[in-house]
Amino acid sequence: MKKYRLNFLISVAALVLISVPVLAHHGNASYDNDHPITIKGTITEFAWSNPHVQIYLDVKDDKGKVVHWSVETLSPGKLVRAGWSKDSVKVADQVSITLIPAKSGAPVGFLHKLVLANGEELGLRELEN
Amino acid sequence: MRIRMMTIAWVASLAALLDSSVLIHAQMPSQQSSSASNNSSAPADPHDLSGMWEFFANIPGQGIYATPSKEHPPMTPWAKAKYDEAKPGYGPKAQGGGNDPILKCNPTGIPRILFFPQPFEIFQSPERVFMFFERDHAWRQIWTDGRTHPKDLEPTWMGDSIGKWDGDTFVVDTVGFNDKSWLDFYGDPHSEEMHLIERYKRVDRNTMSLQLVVEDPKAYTATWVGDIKSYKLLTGKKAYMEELFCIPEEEDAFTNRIRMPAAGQSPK
Repeated sequence: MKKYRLNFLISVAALVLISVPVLAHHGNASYDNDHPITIKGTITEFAWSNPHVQIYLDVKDDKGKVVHWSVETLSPGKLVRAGWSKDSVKVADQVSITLIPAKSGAPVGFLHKLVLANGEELGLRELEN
Repeated sequence: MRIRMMTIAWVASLAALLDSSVLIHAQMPSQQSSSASNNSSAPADPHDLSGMWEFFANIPGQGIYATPSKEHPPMTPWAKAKYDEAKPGYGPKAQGGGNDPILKCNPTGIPRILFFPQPFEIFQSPERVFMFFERDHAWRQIWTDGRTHPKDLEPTWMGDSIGKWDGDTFVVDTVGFNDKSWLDFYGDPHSEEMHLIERYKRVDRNTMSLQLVVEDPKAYTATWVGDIKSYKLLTGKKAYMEELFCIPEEEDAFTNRIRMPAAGQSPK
């Protein structure tokens, strides 16, 4: 786990920005809620499926080695209500993802925020009205 | 347009379900006034709960997520044995992986489905109140025509529900549960003897509260009185519910690709 934290950019600001609890239906016990990180890479798959949308991407570490990351997020309905669509992310897109990583050290995480190459941000909405 | 189409689809499907033209005329105004309107300043009829409602963790004064209240009452030995077997993803025993029955796409059941972050829609008819849940595409009916529970109920996931108004509170009384579902996300069990009371109140136009009371002498030695959960009305484009089925193959693929690696376990 330390390795990934060192290898990839850690966003301290994200700690403040994404402190709202995220409600996954099966729990986030596998993830390190207190230490979000930000990774940048190329989308290899965007699985718009129930009950969890999944994002897969290749990320180069600081030695140029490609690491394949798997990122979990909420259901399509939750994402639609937060402004996403099934076409929000496409294969080969360059993205930046802030996530909470797996405690196991595997390159797996739970998404908090995705930023597209054009700067558009896609997050997980909580109450806003 | 999408919302209008959805409303039309709902009404059409209910017309087929209920076969009552009187009902359709009676319900259309309330549907238009709540779920599909942005007119948030208009007063709400406290006896009209219709609309799509969603749980948000950051509503001021919100009750705890995923369970009736932070502490459950003392368990009987029967319930303790079941609780000890549970490996939930939430609560004091939270762990990765686990054996939550919903990971195999078992129905979530009542009351657990009320704790999901996905919304539900309430639709009122003169004789029944319907709840349609985004999660599992599930629905339930609450009879309001004055009937009592049938005798010799066959145990079910959703139970048998009757409801009545107590002032401005809609009180739902449900029995006839099976004991296959977890009561909540924490792995707390319930038995077939569970008697559930749900108290719904439209606090204001955009807010509905719910308090649960669980009586289950086979599982708990005291009544479990829940805290107050709050739900917000979805309006405009947010008044949207998708088809959310749990598909075993997709759930298994997710388990292998994400859930197990995240938990430090080898995929099957």
